Amino acid sequence: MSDRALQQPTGGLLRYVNRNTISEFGVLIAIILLIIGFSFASPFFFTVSNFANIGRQTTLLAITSFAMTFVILSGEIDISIGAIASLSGVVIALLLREQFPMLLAILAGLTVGGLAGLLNGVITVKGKIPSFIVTLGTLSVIQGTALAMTNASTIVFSNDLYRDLFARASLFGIPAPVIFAVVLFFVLNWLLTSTRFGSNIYAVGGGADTARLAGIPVDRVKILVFTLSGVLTAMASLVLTARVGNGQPLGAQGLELDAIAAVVLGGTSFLGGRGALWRTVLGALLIGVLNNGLTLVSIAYYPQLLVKGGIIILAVYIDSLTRGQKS
Amino acid sequence: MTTLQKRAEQAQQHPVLRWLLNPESGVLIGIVALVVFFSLQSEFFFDVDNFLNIARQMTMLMIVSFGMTFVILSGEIDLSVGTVLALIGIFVASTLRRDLPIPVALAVGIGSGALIGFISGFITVKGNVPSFIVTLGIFSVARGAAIWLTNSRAIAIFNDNYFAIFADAEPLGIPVSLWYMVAIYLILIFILRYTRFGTSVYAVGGNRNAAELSGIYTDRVKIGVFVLMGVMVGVAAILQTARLGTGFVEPPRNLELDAIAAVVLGGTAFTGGRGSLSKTVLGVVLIAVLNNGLTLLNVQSYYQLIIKGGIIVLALLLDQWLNRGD
Repeated sequence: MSDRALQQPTGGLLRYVNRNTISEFGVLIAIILLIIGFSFASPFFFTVSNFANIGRQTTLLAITSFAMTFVILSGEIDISIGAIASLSGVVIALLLREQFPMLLAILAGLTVGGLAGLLNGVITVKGKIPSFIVTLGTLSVIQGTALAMTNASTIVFSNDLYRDLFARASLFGIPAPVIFAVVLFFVLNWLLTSTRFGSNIYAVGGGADTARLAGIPVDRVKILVFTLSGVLTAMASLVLTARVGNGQPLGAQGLELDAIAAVVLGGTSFLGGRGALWRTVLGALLIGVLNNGLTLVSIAYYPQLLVKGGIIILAVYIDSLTRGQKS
Repeated sequence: MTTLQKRAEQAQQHPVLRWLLNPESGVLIGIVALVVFFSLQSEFFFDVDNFLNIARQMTMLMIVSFGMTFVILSGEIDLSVGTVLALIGIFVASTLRRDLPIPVALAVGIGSGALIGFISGFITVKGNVPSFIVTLGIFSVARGAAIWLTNSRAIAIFNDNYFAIFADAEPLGIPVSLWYMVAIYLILIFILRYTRFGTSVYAVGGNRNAAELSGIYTDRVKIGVFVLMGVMVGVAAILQTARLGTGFVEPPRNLELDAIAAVVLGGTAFTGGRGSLSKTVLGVVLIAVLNNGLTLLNVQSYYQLIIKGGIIVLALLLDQWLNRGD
């Protein structure tokens, strides 16, 4: 377990040989199969504009899944991510509606996200309470705050620069949010694989007690991870609010389920300490292609929910089976 | 934190303070304080009819929380109860719509609950997957299935006998749902205290490895606990469909949150192995009084969310702080 945790970020080509190839490339194979299947099922699927669409739709999920990857790698979970995205989205929309400068609105949104994450981290770590119960409680508080701030109504704003920057503009045909997510991926991947903080996250998730004995400030790492997760979630809400042009107090409800699914489908262990950010990209792409294709072949939203729930359960089950064989 | 601990230790030495700091009396004091507060704030609160109302409203939460107590005692969690309850309600309503006899509807409700519970338990135990992820997945599956099956339309029931037996009857002037609640409480108390299964639940939640070594089939106990949870959700769904007259698509709001809050507020440890059903009763009463009073005072539902979430987190912190010495 700890061997793998150390190898994973630095292992280079070895990691491809190290694990069973099918479980390594299973997600990629599934994505390709889905693309082939949907291309036959719908004439609208295999087109440049639809791929740009998938990219745009997947950005939101990808960024929240990055947040979830950090949290899960550190051995914790954050169920309040949807509520945090809603709250920071509402804050940004309110400020933009009142004609505050864009930069200030963005900063305020990121701060709100960071503070919510910090709160989750401090209560989890200092209270020594499982994070899923803590974040279930804070989910309720954060969601309630977003509803109370808006009186449960949608906050519409008009700021073309903001909407262009995070949603509508494109460079060489690549949508701006996709570029945003790709840049974010490289920064975060660097943080995870090439810094002390990154390797500490793997160590803490692999085993908090061992990490503590090795002199790693476990509490501080976990609190930082939760805070980072909050900030990243707020970044996802930038993309969300810019796309729809408003802030909805329930706009990102249920996002945590998709994010957990993306992370676990990608192959990052939900027990912490084992996984990588590129895996999450694949997991998010799989869900993005699935959502897009199911909608194009006109399967309604709720059966999709059913399919997704089933996929999560299946994915964690398969993960646990491969884990069982290894140990 | 150490000064807090010292203060806690000092407090333990005074008998009065000790009683006050006991989580169970804490909840009792909380209930009394809330009753006094709401009575002063609203003229409609302190009233026999309203109390009966509170009792009726809390039946569903109470029964679900009983199941949740078993789950939490065994060291697991179930986040799927809300949508599963809605789904079972639809099964029960559809059965009655086909003019099948009431016992068949009951068997469908309880059987499907047990089956869903078994699935959650089986995946959790055999897959060695944390139950909160499994039940989060089940949550999504049940929600999707409920809306898919009904096209988002509620299924009306036309069966007066069913309404009479499970909602409207009032033996000795007390709503029939309360009788069911008390009966279930007594049965579960018996199971928890006097059967091997009951003591195994504590053992498994207290220390799984030790339980395993002492010859308890921990996997079987945990699956049993999830099945029991499913049965309780099934019973709650039967009573709820009778009360509302329909199989409802929308799951009761935040049912899992309320149930977990009730169990933990009552003083059952969320880490498993320590707690009881009577603690849960107090926790449920506290939440029911809170819900009823806040609604009477016209507090918006989103402030209720904030208040309840805050109370859960505070209760967790208090529980950790008080029991750190153990």
